[in-house]
Amino acid sequence: MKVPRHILAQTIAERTLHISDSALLAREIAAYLLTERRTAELESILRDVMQYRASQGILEAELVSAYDVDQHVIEEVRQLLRRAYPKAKTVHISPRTDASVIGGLRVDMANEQLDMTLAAKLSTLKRLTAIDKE
Amino acid sequence: MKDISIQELSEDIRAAITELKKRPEIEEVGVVTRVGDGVAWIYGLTQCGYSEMIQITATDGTSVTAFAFNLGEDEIGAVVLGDDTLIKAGASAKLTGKVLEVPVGPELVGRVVDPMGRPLDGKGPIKASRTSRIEQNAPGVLSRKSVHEPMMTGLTAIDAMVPIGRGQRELIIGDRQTGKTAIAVDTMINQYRQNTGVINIYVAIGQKLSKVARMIERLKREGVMEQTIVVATSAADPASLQYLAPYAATAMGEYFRDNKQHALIIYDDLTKHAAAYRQMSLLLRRPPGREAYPGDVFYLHSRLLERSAKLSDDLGAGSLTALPIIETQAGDISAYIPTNVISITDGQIFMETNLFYQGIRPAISVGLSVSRVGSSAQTKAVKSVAKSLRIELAQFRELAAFSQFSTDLDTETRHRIERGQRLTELLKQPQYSPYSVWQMYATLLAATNGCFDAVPLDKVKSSEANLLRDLKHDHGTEMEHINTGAEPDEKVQKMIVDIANKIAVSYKPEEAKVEK
Repeated sequence: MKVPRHILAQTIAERTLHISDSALLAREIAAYLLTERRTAELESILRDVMQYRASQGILEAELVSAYDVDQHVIEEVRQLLRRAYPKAKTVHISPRTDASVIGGLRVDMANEQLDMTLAAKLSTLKRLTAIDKE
Repeated sequence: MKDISIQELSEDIRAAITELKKRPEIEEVGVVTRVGDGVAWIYGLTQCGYSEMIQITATDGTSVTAFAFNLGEDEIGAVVLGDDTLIKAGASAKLTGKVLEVPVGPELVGRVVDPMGRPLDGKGPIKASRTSRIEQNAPGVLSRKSVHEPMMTGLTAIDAMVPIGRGQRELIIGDRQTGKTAIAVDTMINQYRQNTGVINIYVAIGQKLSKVARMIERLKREGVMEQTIVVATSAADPASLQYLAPYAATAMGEYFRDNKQHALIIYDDLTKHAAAYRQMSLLLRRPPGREAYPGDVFYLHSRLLERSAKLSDDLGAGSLTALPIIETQAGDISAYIPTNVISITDGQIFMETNLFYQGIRPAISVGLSVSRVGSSAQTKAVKSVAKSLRIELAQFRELAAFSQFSTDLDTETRHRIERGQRLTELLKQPQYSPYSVWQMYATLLAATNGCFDAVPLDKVKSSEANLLRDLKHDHGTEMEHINTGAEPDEKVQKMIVDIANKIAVSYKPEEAKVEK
């Protein structure tokens, strides 16, 4: 019988809290997914893992910006996340650059997002001022 | 290109500035894990409600709207309302906090729109002041009143024998090309010609666009388009839009119902609607039932049709009358979807192919058609002459097989056959020519009093035309009084019969006149 995805994710998340060799864990997970033909669910499983770890106080976020950000900005975002999630004991931030955001920052977590990018504002402006084309 | 109004642009910009000034907040976001065939499967969005609208970021940066249809433990199945080829796996999806809504109000009258209320007629944007949810609860028992006002179709066969009332649901069912849509169009035209004030709403579900365009052109020519809303989806539109079309149109009709007005809604046709829903359900991996339809296909139509009602006086006495259309295969009214809808509606008008090809148009099968509301929804005038019509036609049908032996039959039988043939001939009506109440009354009064019994069968329609012409020309005032629905007094009845008899004499065969 197929193991429900949230059970699988919880198991993996608990392993990540106690294991030190991530490469070994990765091979085990890959082998399981291949055997069970569930490789298509990898993205969803990893998000579930992030969500479970967040509930255990380990918050992971991806910081997306158009240009490289300095440590000062990363610290400010970390403080912002600590305020938003008081129960988080650890906050991991992974910076990434993406020119399509044009400017500003976006913080992506497992199920949530804080979007302060220029691209989002322009998209909102476009949506709000749309005029029907004939 | 339409000129931009600076006033409108200024208002839009101010609204945009207000929106943009809001401080960004952490919001829930989902990820599209896979997409195809108009369905996007989304991870996350645990707070999503059923039928909630979701905005998915497309590859070109625009937003594509979808609505949540499957709320699973692991993922959400969202039906895409736009082009699903613009979405790829990994796209982000956000909740809007709103369920599907459509603009409603008098601003839509005279327009052709899609199920989301977007104009299709090139007449510019629709500035509706209100929106309404596409899915609404039907009025409760205490909110309703019994159907008692007539909804005249202008077709004698229907108004006399299968009368429809305001707030009723009367199904039009038959094979393809039997005149189902023609009945609906004639009903709409009659609302305009009789100045009833009823707003028409025509919902084209998966129809050929050429057919919809022809119908709109005809409505414009007849002047009916000014009081009609057309909600159009073609066969090329996604199944999601075809599924939403009748609900969106009903929401538009409910605006008039709830504001003390009367509306007529025509669903053309619910067979295609059921097929679109089946397609969506199968793609969402819902278990198929009979004929591969999902298990809730009855509820699909019952919750739609229950919204058509006559409201109580306390709520304004408005009404929404529904004429759903169902297409059968080989006349099989015992198939799954037809039997479902027959059990929901307050009667049906059954169109027969062989009647159509015999030249009897509208091809209504009197034996199989019924109105469960009955004479409560009939004008007094038509009611008084229609009483014997059904019985005489039923007797004629029983004896029709013997009509070839006319010289060997007794007088009574021969008389019944000849009367039935003339009644059948009189019930034929050309398309786009609905009759007013006085025309129906005069025709049926003359026929049931035997005025046309001696007129040759091929001259019956022309003698009817002469009768109506003379009555209009010489007794216009009395005819206008009959048009209000009131039954005329005996003097007027005698006058009509006398005129009919005089006209009939001129059509008698020469040998009959010589013998006399």
